Amino acid sequence: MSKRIVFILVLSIFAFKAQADMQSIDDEALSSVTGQAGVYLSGEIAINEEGGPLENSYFGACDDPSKVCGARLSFQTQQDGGWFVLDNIKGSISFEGLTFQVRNISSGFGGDGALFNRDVMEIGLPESIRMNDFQYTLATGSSERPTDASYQQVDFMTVEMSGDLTLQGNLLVFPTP
Amino acid sequence: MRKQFKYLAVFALSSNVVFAEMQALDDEVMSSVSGQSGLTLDLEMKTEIGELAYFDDGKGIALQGLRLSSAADPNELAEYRFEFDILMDGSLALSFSSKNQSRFEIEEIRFVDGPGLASAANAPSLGGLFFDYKIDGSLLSYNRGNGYIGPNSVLGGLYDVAFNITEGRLGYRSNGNEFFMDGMELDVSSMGTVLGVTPTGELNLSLPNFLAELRVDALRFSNNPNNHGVSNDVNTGQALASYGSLWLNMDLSADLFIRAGGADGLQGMTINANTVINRMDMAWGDDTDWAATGYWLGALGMSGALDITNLTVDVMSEPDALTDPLKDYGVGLAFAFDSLSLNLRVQDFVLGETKASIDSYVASGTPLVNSMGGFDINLLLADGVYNLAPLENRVILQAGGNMNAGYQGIRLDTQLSLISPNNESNFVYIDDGYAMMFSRLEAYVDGDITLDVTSAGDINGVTYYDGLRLGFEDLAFGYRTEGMRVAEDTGDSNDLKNKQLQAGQRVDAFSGLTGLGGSPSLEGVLNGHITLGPEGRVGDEGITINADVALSDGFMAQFVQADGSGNGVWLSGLNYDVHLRDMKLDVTSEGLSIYEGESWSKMDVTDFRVGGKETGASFGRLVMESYEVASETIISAGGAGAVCIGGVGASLIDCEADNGRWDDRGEQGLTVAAKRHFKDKIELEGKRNRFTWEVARTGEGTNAAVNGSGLQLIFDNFTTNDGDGLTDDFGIQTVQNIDVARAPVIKKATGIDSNGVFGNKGDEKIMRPDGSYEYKARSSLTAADIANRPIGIAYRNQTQFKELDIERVNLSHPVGGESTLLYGLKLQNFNITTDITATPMD
Repeated sequence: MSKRIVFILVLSIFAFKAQADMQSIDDEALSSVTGQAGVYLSGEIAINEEGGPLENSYFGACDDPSKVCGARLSFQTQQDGGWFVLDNIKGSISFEGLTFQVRNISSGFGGDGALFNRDVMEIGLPESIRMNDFQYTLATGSSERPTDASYQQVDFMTVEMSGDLTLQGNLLVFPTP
Repeated sequence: MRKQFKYLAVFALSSNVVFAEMQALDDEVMSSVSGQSGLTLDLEMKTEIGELAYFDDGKGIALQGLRLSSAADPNELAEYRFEFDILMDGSLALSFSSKNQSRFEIEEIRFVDGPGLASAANAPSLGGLFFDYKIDGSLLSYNRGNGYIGPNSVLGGLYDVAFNITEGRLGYRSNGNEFFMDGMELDVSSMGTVLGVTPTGELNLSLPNFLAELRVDALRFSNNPNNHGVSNDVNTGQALASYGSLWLNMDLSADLFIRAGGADGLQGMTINANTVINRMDMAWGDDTDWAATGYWLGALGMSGALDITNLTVDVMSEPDALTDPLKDYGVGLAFAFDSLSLNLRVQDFVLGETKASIDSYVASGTPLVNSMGGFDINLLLADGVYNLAPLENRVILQAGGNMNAGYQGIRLDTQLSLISPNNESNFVYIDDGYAMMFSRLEAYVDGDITLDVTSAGDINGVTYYDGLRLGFEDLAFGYRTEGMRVAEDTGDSNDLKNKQLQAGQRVDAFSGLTGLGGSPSLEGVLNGHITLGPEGRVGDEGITINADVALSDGFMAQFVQADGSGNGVWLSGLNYDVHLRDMKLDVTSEGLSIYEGESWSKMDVTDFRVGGKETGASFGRLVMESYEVASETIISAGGAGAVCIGGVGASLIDCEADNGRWDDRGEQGLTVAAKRHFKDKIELEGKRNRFTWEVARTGEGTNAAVNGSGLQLIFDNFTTNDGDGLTDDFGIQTVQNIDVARAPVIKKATGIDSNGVFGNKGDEKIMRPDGSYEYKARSSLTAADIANRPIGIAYRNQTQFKELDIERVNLSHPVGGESTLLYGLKLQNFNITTDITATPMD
């Protein structure tokens, strides 16, 4: 069966690590430039909205105040050093009107467009984004897993987001290897 | 393609040994058997023919070692009874029946240079065939005088034919291994059959009422050369391993014309045929009792038409002999045609249905439990051009198969061209009354395919596996679509052709066993094999797959624009190796179950491009290596069902109370549930999980970038575990649901869109019955408006894992050396759900 899920996920991440620029353009102008050959996407992305699969001394159900039910990402930048932690990531983001298409850039951008004269990925930002109790905690930890013996963690800050956002314009991703 | 009338070829018959025993019966005895009005003939015979050959322009195909005898003992006689009667109107009635199980077999099928020339024992051969049977049937030859008869005005006969075959066994044998249908039963009825010669000299076979039902109890495999046409191994007494059961039910009307002269030389034949499929059902059963036990995968309620124009048949030399002698595999039986058109509707495709349920559905239309929906398959094969290369349709059947596997086997030197200038070729999926068309499908295949029955072991350093081995040798292929069209299903897929075109996106759930499917466009060159062995993981029956497949010089689209430009997001310069070991396929109550004993692969993308597949700007090189053990996938019928988007709630009321949008996607659809275990690297065997992104290579930005010369970002040795770093029972679990469903589309700016339709910012797009649309303020939407939202493709994916552990993240350069960015990266307790609906962009 398919073995490409992780691959595509990573591709998506690294596409954005290339060079990106924001540009506002209305529908009419857009159609005159490239035609509307892309795709219109609506939906949601939910992370641990109802908890995750781990149940141990640290992770558990969301209705258990003694346990963390969000996702956790940690990384170590020095050998045998401590760990940066993005902890208790949970919530959802729903959107309507995210568009995706390939667009040719041959002008604008202070003259750089004519020099570039290639195709880029254009991500049309959705007008409406709704954050539902989206949150995460920035922390540092003493070892790789919170269930390790003698593990200690310092939480620096927790970010929580709820409500509607309006995003306009397009995100252009330029390939520049 | 040449279309000449040629004279009929002559069969050359070389009969070395013929043994037949006939027992004469006097009239008195006959009358005691069949009554007073006819003739009864009891026939007992054992016949052996050394060689029967057909020659075409001096080259022949020879059936060697033909034998008709008793199936139980080839030294015993096959026994039949024939009864003849002349009816009152002068019609001839013949009935026939077997008195014991007979065997007809062909030991070798070879291509020969002349009649009677002895073949070397190890000369390339197609292999052998055998057919065991008991037959019981009748033939009525009507007295229609000597004039022209039938719709095609032929000089010939009008017949009613009916027979059934029981205790059947139809097998193919190569290099001592056998693959055969065991416990076969076939019922055939063909009333009003016309066989004759048209005024223009064509042989015509007309089958206006052809009904047939085939039941195969077990598809069996034997790797014991001592076995021949037996259900149980002669050494162990154990039942031979089985792939499962097969069932085929058909109701056809067909008209076949054969005229003399092929495409090559003066001799050969040309066939034209039109077939109307009134109804056809086909299914594969696993561990079934043909009733309530065991489960089936099948295409049910099929109907449509198949037309073939100027199919020529010739015995001829390998065309590669002149251009590429290394690929000259000798004389073969060549099939070529001007065009082949197939239009087929599959009413229901089921996964995990019982035979009792299927029978009830076929007999009385009882609703199915596990239907994923229906399909329309429309194909037009004809001469065409793909990537500027002219292509035609021809297949040359040659002897030998995979040359290393032994002297027997089948080789198909193949060139096929699927064209679609006016969207004649497409594929449509129908889900709960909504249809999704993969529009304007074009494809080609050009290269060699081999077919062998092999046994496990090494031959000259090449590993073979038990089963039916499908080999690919420099098989160039490609397919592409212009995008997708979605609308309500009207029952006629032509109605979809005028619907709005939507960009094509890769659908991961359709990626198939090797991970190569599901893209809007893919091309490359295939080498390797897929070997289908018997027995699954559940029960006694099923399929075991071992495969080593390499795709080279490929292009795979992840996304293709709907403007016909071919621009999109491409994996260019794709080289992909995939290896599967002991992949087990079973049909269960949940659907098609796939278990991978071990699999590893490497996908090396020279350029990840945006724009044209060869000219687009590149993000650099990507390499994905994967190593998994004991991963499992279940493909089942039914999609996401009712879901809450943008909120939380298990009911419409709860969902809307949380400001969500309740979306009921119906009963049908497709679900792919997978559990994958990424394992620790095995350096010596080249198995690991690693992702590499390389940029700034020598020659970057040209078509000659040198892989390995640039800066690499490496995510190395990622593995799964249960959050403890010790066990890995959970893996990464994903559930993907695919549906065709309605979804809201919001106008993003006031003004006219690309189709000239005006709308205010925030308005919703609402479809009209004629396929046009309007924008309406969301506050004014009625229930009818909501029911007429645009139809899109809905993907829902839930991914869960306890821990994904990346050992390290490195930066590497061939000159600057390697440095570690991260000494560890861990993702724990993830449960991500994405629910995306894709609709055309206006």
